[in-house]
Amino acid sequence: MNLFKTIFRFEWIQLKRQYAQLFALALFLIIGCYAVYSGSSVIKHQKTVIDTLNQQYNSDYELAVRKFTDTLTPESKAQAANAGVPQAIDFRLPPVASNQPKGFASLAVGQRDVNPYYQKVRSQVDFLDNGNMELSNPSTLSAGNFDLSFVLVYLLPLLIITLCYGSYAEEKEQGTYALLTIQSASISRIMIYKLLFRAAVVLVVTGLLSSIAFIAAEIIGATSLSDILLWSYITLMYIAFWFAVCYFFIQLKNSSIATALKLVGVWLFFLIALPSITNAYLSLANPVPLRADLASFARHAAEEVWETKPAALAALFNKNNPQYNSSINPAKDSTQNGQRFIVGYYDLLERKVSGYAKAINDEIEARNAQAQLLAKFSPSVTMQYLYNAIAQSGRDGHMDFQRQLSVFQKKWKHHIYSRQLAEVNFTREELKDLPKFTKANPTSSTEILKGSLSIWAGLMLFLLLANWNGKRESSSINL
Amino acid sequence: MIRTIAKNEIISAFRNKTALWLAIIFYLLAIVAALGGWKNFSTATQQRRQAKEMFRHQWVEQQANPHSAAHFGTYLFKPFTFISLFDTGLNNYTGNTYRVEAHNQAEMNHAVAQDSDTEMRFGELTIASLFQLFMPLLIIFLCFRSVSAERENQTIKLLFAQGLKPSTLLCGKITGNYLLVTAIILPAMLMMLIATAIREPGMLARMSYFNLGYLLYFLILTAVFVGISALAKSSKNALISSLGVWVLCFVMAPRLVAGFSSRLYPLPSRGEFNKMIETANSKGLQGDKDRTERQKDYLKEVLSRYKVDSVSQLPLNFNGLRMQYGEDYLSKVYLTINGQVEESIGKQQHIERLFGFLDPFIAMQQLSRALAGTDYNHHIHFHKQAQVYRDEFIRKLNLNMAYEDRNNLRSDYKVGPAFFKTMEDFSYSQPEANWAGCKHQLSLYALLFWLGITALAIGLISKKIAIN
Repeated sequence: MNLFKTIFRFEWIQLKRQYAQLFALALFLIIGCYAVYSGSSVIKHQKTVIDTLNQQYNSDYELAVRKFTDTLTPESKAQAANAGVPQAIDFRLPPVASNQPKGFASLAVGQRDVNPYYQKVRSQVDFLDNGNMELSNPSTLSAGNFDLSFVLVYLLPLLIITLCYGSYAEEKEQGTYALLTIQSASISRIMIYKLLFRAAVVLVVTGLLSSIAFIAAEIIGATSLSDILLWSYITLMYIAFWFAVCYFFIQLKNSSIATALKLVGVWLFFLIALPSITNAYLSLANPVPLRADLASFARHAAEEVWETKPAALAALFNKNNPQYNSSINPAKDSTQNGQRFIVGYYDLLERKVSGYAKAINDEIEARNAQAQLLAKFSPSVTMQYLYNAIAQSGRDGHMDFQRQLSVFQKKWKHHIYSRQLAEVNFTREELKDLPKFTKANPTSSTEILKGSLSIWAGLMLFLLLANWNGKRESSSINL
Repeated sequence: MIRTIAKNEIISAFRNKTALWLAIIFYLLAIVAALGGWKNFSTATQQRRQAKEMFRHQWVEQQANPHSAAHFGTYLFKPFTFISLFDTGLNNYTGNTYRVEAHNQAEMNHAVAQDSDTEMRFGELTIASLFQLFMPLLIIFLCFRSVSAERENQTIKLLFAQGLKPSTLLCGKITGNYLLVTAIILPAMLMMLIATAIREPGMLARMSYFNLGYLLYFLILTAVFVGISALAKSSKNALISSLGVWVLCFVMAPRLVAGFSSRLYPLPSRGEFNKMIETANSKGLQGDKDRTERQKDYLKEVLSRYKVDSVSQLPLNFNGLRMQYGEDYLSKVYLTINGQVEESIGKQQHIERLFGFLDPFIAMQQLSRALAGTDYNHHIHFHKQAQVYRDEFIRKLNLNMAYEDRNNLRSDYKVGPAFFKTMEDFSYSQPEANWAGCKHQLSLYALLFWLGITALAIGLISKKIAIN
C-alpha cells in the first residue's frame, strides 16, 4: 500500500511538472467541451425543425377548422361544404411523425444527420422517393460530426497513448530504471501502479467532461439514470481496453519512440485501417442495391393495377380488407369514379410494391447486420455503435422509428379510408380526434451490455498477452 | 552537397528497412483499395447501364397516355468517371438516381449513406484515402528522425564543422525523403495513368492533374515534417509533434471545418424548403400573381393569340398547354428556391476551401474530389443537366397532349413507340478537367501557398537549427 501511495504521489508531482501532458489534458477538455457544443447545436437545429413543423401543423389545423365556418363568399361556401372530405384532410392535414431526439443524441449525433427524422404521414406510401431527406451539404455529411462520441472514440485513446507510451521507457532513458529495480516490488507491479495513476487521471478528466456534457444536454433525472450508467460503463470499458493495449506494449520494454509508434499503429489499425477494410469488404460482398428494379416493378404494377376492371379491383380490395365491407356499394364500386376503385388501386399497388421493396430492404438489413458483426472486431467501431444505441441515433434507432411510423401510417390510412369508402365527411369536432404519432424511445440495456462483450474480449486478450509476455520474460531471465 | 545528403538519407532509410516496410504496407493496402474500387466501379457501372437500358426500353415501347406516362416518368442515373474508383469522394452521400416525373422537381435520391450504418462514417479504403491519410503518416515515419537524429548522434556538429550550411542540410533531407516518397508512389501513379489511358482516355488529363496534385502535396508534407524534425529537441518530440499535427489536420480539422461552415451558413429544413416551393407555386414568387390569377391571364393570352372567345373554340387541347404553363412556373420556382439552397451550400464549400490555406489536407481533398468528378460541383453539374432534360421531357409530353389530343384530356388518348422513340435519351456530358480546376482554383492556390510558406519556413528554420 505504501508503494502504491508513493508511486501515486511521485506521479502526481511528475504530472504537475510535465507541461506537455498537462497541455494534452487541458486540450482534451477544451476539445471535448467544443464537441459538446457542436453536437448540441446539430440536435438543437433538429428540435427547432420539428417544433416548426408542429407549429405549421397547428396553423394548418386552424385553417382547416376555419374552412368549415367560412361562408362569406360563394367560393368559400363551396369550400366549407367540402372541408371535411377525407381526401382533403389527408392532403391538407397530414400528421407529422417525428423522431424526437433523446438528450444523448447531442453527445452522439450518429446517423441522425443522414436519415430523415420526420415525415408527413399520408394514406399512400411512396416506395420510390425519399422526398423527406434533409437538405445538407454532402461534404459536411462525409466529414462527420464533431460530437462527444467522436472525441471519446477517436481522441481519448490518443490521450491515453500520450500519457502512457513513455511510462517504462522514459525510466530507462532517464536512468531511473536502475533505482526501480532495487525496490522490493517487481517492475511490472510498479508499471501497473504507474498506469493506474494515469488511468485515474483519464477517469477524472473523462468524468468531468461527461458531467459537463450531461448538464449541457439537460440529461438529468431518474429516467436518464440508466442511460447515464450505460454511457459511463461503456466509456469505462473503452478506457480499460486502451490501458490494456498500452500495458501490453509497455511490457515489451521497447524505447519510447518504438512504443509510441506501435501504439499509434494499433490506434490506426482500429480506427482507420480496420473500419475502412471492413467497408471495402461490405461494399464488395453486399453492395447497396440500386432500386432500379423496384422502380421498374412499381411502374409495371401501377399500369397493371390501373388496367384492372373496377369490379374485379373492388372485389380484391374487399377480400383483402373485410373491415370495410359495410360500405360496399356494387353499383358505385364497379366504376372507375367510385371511391373503391381509387382506394383499391392504392391498396393493391402498395401490397404489390411493398412485397418487392421488402426484398430490397431485407438485402440492405442483411448488409447492415453483417456490418454490425464485423464491427465487433474493432472496439472503436463497436463503441460508436453503442453510443449511438444509447442515444437512439444509429440506424437501429432510425429503423425503430420507421417501424413505429409504418404502424401509425396504417392507423392513419384506416382512419381516412373508413370515411372515404363510406363517403362520410369529417365534422369539425372530429378533427380534434385525428390520430397523433407518439414515439416510444426504449433503450435496450441488455443489447448494450451484450454489445460491450467484444470490448471485454479485446481487453482480456491484451491483458493475457501482457501476462504471457511477462511470464516469458521472467522465465528467460531465470534461464 | 544536397545530392550527397539526399543520397545518404535514402541509403539509411533502406538500411533500417523503414521505407521498405512502409512501402510494402502501402502497396498491400493500395492493391486492396484498387481491386475493391475496380469491383465496385464495374458493378455500379454495369448496374447503371442495365437500369438505363431497361428504363429506356420500357419508355419507348409503351403504349400510354402522355400525361399518364409523364406521371410515372423515368429514371436517370449519375454515371461514374473511371477516376472515381480512386476517389469516391462524396458519391456515397449525394445520391445517384434522378426521377423524371410530372408536377414534381425531384432531387438526387437514394444515397448509399442512407442505407448504411455507423461503420460508413469511419471512412472508405480508396487510393485517395491512402494518399491523403496513409502517405502523410509514411512521410512522418520517414522524416521524424531526419534532422533530430543527426543532432542526437552529434553528427550535425561534424557536418556544420565541414562547412555545410543548415539550409543545404534541410534541402538535402527534404530532397532525399521526397525522392523516397516519389519512388514508392510513382509505380502506383503510373499504373493509374495506364489504366485510365486504356479504360477512359478522355480522363487522362484529369488523372495527370490528380497525380501532379498529390506529388505537390507530398512535397509540402515532406518539407513540413522535416522542418518539425529540425525544430524538435529530440526525435521523440519530433514524432509526437508530427503525429499531433497529423491528428489535428487530418482527423479533427475536416470535421471542425464542416461543422463551422454549416453553422455559418445554415440551410433550411426539408419541411421549410417544400413549404417555400408549395407557397411560391400557389401564391406566386415575389411580384407574381397567385396560381388562379396566373392561369386566368394565361388563358386570356392564349385565347387572344388564337383570336377566339372560349376554350372550346381553341384548335388545341388547352389542358395540355395549361399543364405546361404550370410546369414552367414550377421550374421557375424550383430554380429560384433551390438556387438559394445551392448558394448557401456553395458558401459552405467556399469556407471549406478557404480553410485549405490553414490545412493542406483540406485543400488536397477538395482538389482530388474535383478531379475525380466526385465533388459537390460535379453533383450539381449532373443535377442541372438532369433537370434541364426533365423539363424538356415533360414539355414534349404536355405539348403532345395539347396539339395531338383534341379531346381535352381524355384518358383513352394513347400514343405508342412511334412517338416515345422521338424523345431523346438522356446523355450526360462530363465537364472538362479545366472546369473542375477552375471550380477549385482556391484549393490549388492553397497548395501553392503552402509550398511557398514551407519554402520560406525552411529558410527561417535553417537559421534556427540548434546544434545541441
